[in-house]
Amino acid sequence: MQITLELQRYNPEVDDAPHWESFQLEAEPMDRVLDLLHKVKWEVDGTLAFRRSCGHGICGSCAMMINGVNRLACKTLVQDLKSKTITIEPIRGLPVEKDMVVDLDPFFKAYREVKPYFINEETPPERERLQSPEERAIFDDSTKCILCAACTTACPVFWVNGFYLGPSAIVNAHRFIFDSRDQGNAERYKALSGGGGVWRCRTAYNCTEACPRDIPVTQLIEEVKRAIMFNQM
Amino acid sequence: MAIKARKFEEARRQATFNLELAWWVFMRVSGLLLLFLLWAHVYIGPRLISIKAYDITLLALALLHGSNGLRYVLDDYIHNGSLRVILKSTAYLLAAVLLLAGALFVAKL
Repeated sequence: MQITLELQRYNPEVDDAPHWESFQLEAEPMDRVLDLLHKVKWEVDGTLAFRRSCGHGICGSCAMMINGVNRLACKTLVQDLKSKTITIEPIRGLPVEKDMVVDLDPFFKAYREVKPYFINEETPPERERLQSPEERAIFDDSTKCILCAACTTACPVFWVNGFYLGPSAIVNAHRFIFDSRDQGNAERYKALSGGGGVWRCRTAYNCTEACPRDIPVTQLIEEVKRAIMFNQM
Repeated sequence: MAIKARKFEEARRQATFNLELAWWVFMRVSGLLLLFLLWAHVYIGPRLISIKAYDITLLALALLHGSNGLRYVLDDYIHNGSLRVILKSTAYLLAAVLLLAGALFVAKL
């Protein structure tokens, strides 16, 4: 089938502002959008810039806005888009460096702010710290995050508010807040309940729709809000 | 806290008294209350409910709820520091004037 690929292009050395470029491609219905981008880069225009690594929906490198929705290019099939025209833009709310490549520093700065690692000052037991399957199930959803930034860059508050941590950072805080073995909540609540924390969330649900790993992001954010509220009131 | 706050924004983010949480809870509680208070105000009519406390509660809740919502919007969209201060103080002043004028009006009824 014939596909029209509309790409938002931006080269900071030449362009003042991003512009659109159109490519006509022959594609199979089972092709991934990533395959189309490869076809353009390898056969038509080698200057096209985008991130990709594993190509199997695990590394989280190729999040981009495809036909108006944040998705992973490697997990999106041409046939699922049900459209002969496919538009691809970089994810929003972060500075564009070139074509689909954005500066992810603000995203990872917010991630580090919530201390997304295991905190427990007690001496570890002889063997592992035990946890029941029920205790593990509480934070099962938040372990699925691959840090692709699709949720955070789909969030209307993140687009406009320079301080909001964003859905992804809160999901990764959830991973440890609800871990029965972890003791670092006091430190995490400090970052999460301040001016840029969870209270900025207006439950737009864009993040839940954008997540390529089907994490119920908004629900997890609400769980963190509830935990902080009952902890501090 | 190991790192000392150097800017106002940092100090506010490190504050132990959680004002943002209090406002968040207030928005939910006042939103729910306003739903019923406004319903009674519109459908039963101001003549039947001539209790001054009722009217002043309704006015205060609506103004606080509204101006805090406005504060959220200004915090999100206005990035210029001095412009943000000007707009926010104007909004607060307006809310205070409306609250005072409304309270005086209700008191004279």
